[in-house]
Amino acid sequence: MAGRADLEKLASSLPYQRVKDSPSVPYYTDWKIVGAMEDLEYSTTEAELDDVMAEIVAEADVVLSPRGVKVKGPKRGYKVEPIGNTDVDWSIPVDSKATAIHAIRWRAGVRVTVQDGMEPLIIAVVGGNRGYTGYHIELEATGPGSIGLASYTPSGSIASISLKGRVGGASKLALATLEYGEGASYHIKHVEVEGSVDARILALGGEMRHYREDYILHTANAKLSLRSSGAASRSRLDIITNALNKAPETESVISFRGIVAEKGYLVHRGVARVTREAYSSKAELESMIIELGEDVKGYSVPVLEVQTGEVASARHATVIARPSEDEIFYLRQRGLSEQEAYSLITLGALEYSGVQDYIPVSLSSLLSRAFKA
Amino acid sequence: MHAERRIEEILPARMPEEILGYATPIKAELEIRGRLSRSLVEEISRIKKEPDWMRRLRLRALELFEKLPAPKWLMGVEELDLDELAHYVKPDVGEPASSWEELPREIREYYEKLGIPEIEARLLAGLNVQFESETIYHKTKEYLERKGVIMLPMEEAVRRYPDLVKRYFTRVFPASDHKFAALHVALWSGGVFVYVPPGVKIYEPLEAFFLIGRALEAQFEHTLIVADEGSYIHFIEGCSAPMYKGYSFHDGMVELYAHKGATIKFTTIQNWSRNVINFNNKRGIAEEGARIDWVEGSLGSKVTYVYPSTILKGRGAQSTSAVIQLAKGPYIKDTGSKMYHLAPETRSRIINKSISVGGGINIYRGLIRIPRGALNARAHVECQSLILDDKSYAYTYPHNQVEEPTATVTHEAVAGKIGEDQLFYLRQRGLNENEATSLMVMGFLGEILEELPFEYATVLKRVIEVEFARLGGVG
Repeated sequence: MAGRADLEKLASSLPYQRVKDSPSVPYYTDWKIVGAMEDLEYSTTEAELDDVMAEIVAEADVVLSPRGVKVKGPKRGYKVEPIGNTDVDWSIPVDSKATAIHAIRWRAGVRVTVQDGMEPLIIAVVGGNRGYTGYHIELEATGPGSIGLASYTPSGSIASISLKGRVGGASKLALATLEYGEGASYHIKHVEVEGSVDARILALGGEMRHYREDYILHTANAKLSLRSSGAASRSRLDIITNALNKAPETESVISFRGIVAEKGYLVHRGVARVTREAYSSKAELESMIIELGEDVKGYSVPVLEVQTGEVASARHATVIARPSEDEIFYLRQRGLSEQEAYSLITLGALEYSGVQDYIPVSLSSLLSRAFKA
Repeated sequence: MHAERRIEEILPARMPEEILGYATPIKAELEIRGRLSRSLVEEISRIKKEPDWMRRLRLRALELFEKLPAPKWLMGVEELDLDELAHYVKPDVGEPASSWEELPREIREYYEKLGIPEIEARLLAGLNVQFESETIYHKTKEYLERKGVIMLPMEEAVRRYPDLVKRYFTRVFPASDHKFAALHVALWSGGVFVYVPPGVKIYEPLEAFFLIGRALEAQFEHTLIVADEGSYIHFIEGCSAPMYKGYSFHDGMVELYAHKGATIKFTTIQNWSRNVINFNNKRGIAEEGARIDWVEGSLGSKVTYVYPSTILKGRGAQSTSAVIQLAKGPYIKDTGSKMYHLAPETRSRIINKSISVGGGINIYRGLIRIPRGALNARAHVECQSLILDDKSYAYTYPHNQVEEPTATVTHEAVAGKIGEDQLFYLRQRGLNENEATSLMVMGFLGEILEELPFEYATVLKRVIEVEFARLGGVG
């Protein structure tokens, strides 16, 4: 737990990133852009929504926006309670100046308890018209349920979003996140898992998007399945998916499908860590980045940290490549133009995450937004 | 059977670090130790009778060393205190010998225990032996000279071929790269220069063998190999040290330059004793159609930091890096390979196999970088880690950076123990547990062992068997 004074101290003493990422690309996230959240004024006016977000907001059970928190009504199996910054003892680890600033500056938040939810609880997060906005979600899952979290950051603005979660042993939680918009964002999730989590992510690039999810499997037999998709075209996305297997017979399987096109910048990083206590555990990490068009940057950093020989499985695999000529040939033989074939492959990569199972979103509309150039 | 007997003679010790036994006190002719300064660096340059350009290069490197920050991610080097080390130690042996009999008995015995004279006679076209900071033995076969191949102690090459050396020295691995590279360039001493003329192919390997004989000593040998157009060379580097109390420090550098169509194969058998903190800076440049192959057996040392790298500069250049790393006991191997694809149609392949046991930590840090314009570049990375108990670690930190849409990078890594099914299968066929484990480990390493000359593959195999024998796991 970090109090306000601790956070202020960390915000002034910590760097955005302690160690450079690599000699050739020192920082995968452009901290100059993300770090602007330190100085920008807090926005009080809501962004104008595009069609995709307008539809999600219309269906949402909870809306977080610069104007505050709107809970549309009770939803069976869930308990939702608005919270403010001072209602929360900050407990997400603070390893970056960005986290400390966010912890100090976020304003609108909710505490969600998942008891026995049949339908997904949809939370829409809307960035400010310009300037900075910050949001926080406290999640406690004691029973089964599903959360759909959609976040939109429009051009000229920056948002920071955090989620601190605990998924109890009796819970089987689906947690789907969609994040997009032309603006910048800093998004962190820190979830402790005793039961089972089915996580889905679909993130599209913005001015600079730093998106990170950490799952800590700290009770025997805890399970994580994380399917994620990302795309960047004339935009930048750094997506980080980490799993820490800390207890025996835990299981984490992380996979990513990404598309990087035309002046796009896409990074997928992930850590699969198995600690000494986590014998007979499984940790797998898989990443695929497909490159389309010219002037693209696709980076993949799949990290494996294994601290015991007693593992059931510990592996990672990654590929960065163009679509294979066989795939394109196959599709063209069935009457698709080259452009249609590429679109289909892209749509397939975005659909892979499966966020559409929990969030009312049209992927083809998103696709046309993401690749409008 | 004969080969097996020879290996037993070469490696009578139960543990590899015991091969040389405890250090024998050997008198030095000259020793320079203490705080790093301009005058200390100038003194080394003066002793070596260097041209002025080399003296200035050293001093610039010293300035860089003072300016560059220390890496924040280093582990296991807490005891390293540069101010207490002897940065230059000249053994009291006079000029480099060309026959083993010329060397003092106590020094010669070290190399005889390692079987170096035997290997030289059977396998090598040339051998350079360094003890402490200087070459003490140097011999090449006559035909090398006839073919125009130059193989000389580095200092001698600086004096005799200054223009040739100056063209390449620290051009492949600049002193500005990082703090320990700058330190090396400021203090380098020993090592080998090799030049292979265009079209000359030397299939018998050349070797340099480095030995640190005492505690609180630093060794900074510099190896520079230039293979001119269409040539071929295989160079072997061996390192060893006896056991002593305290630690010593190794900060070597290897620079390879493969001109158009040339091939350099560079093999390292690193078997420092557990007293050595080992940094090694290794990089090669491969021009059009050239090939650089790194093969490394990283067995000993207290802690090792080494990342063989190739800059694939010309169209169609190729490189492979095949590394076996062994971390047995509370020791750290922080290694990896880096491939920079700067031209079209370049190819690279990295295979890294590690074995961790008894609290050992193996780390792989790799980089594949394909910038825009490296059309149709291909890279493949495989990391396989065996962890033989529940207190040892294997970490893999690969960075795959692709900025060229026609390029393809594939990477796979797996970590774990030997499969119980596999052991069961072998035991059902009459092997005991040790034999079965031994067979599995050797099979695991087989792909890389095949890359070594027979004599070295056999030695390395035996070393690994001996390493694991005490655990009852292998051999």
